[in-house]
Amino acid sequence: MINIFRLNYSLSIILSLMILSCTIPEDAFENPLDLEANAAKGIYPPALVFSPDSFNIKSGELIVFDLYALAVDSVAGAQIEIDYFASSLDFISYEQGDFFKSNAAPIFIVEDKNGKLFIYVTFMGPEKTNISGTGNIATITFISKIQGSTVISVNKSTLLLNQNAKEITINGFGRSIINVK
Amino acid sequence: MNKVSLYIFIILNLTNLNAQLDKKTMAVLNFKGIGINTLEAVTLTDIFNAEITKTNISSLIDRSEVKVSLKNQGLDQSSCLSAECISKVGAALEVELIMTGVINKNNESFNLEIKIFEVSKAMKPLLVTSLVNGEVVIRKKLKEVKMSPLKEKTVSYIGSTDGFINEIEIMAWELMGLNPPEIKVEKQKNIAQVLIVNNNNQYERVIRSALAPGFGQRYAGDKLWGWVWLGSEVVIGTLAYLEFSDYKTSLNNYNKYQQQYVESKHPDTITFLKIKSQESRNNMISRDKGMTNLLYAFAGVWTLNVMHAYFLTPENLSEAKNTNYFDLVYNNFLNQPEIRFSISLN
Repeated sequence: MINIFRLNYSLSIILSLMILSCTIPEDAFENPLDLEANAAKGIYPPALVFSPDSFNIKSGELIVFDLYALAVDSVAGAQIEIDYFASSLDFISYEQGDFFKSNAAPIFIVEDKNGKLFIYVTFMGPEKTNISGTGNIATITFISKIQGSTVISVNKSTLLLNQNAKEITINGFGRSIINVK
Repeated sequence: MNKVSLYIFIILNLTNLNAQLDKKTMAVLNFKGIGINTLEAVTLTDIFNAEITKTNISSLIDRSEVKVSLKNQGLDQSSCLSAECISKVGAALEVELIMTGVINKNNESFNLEIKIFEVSKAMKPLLVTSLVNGEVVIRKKLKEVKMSPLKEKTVSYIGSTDGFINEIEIMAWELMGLNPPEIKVEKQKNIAQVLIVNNNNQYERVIRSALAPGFGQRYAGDKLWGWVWLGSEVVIGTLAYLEFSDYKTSLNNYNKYQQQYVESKHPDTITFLKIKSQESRNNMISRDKGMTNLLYAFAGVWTLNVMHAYFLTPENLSEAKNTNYFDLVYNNFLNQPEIRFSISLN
């Protein structure tokens, strides 16, 4: 008799706990290189995006993100302009990504001018003249200076050029939101 | 060998008991009632007395005679339970045996304890001389000896007053060392069946089934339905657990694919992981719905089980109620005995 009671109570408790513990997570797909996710944000390829596209950090912490070329076609060189708030962030360093890498070292120049970061990159030598697809152009490091929200974005004056130095239309300009606490 | 000895002992004991009671004069005092009123106690005593008379073992003093005689002596029957009082009553009534009883009623629980005292051996006349104001006074006193019951019997009964009355009647026969009439034993079986049903009243069944599916049905004697309801709940519970298990697996897969998706830098891999992640999530939703439905089913079956317990008509009830008979019963509402006639309408 006691066993029957225990069995039923156990069943009820287990079922209740099961139901209570069942939560369906949000259907969130936030990878900045996800074409569908970017399309939902109005960023269509070819595009230049940041990964990750958001940060939650403390003041004084480093912000390391990758600049990606997303689904580009026959790109031979680029002049990329990145905007940031110099009052909130300090540029620290950069590292060339593997997208423009070939046996012959490409031209890869980075300039920091009062809230604007310029990246010049182009293939050198006969081995490889252009590249298509998605890849990391550069890894950039900033440091946060003050609390608050700030944005790093790809300026619309950015240029992607093919091997004939003709401009490739860029449909998406990525941005990364930084929340500093 | 031991059994033979036991039988011989019982036979000798019964023979001895019959010899002790055989044709001796006896009076039955009003039972003392606890939890019942005096009228009820007197009624039950009358019933018991009538049954004792039927056994024709002892020579029973008429109840009215007992009443009048003791009233004249200023003795209260029902409260006369001490050896001294019983001795006095015995002497007053000039009987050899006195039968006393105590009925204890608590809700539907009855307890009757009856004792037979052989008062003829309890009190012996004794002449006592003493000096009062210088004169010798001779007084007759009864010398009291230690008195223990010649026989005593206790019966405990849970059920209706009808059943208790029948139990008293059976007890009267057994107390006199006789087998009770078959009709009374049979009647007690029928009452017992009704009692099973009475004990399983709707609300008790409902409460039991509400606490545990099938428990009310089992209590009502319907074990099959009891197991059906319990089994149903166990099956549904098991299915729900399996759904939960699948949900957990899907959740783990979802978390794993999500993590890989976030970390992936390759669009093709991202798309693949996204699809897998969505599949896991859809499966999770499906399992969650399945589990919720099973929970509803679980609750529904539980509710149906309670309703079934409420409307359940135990098989024994119809059989027991189909018996047509006249019966002397005690009406709890009117607080008086009455003759009842039952007839089956089907």
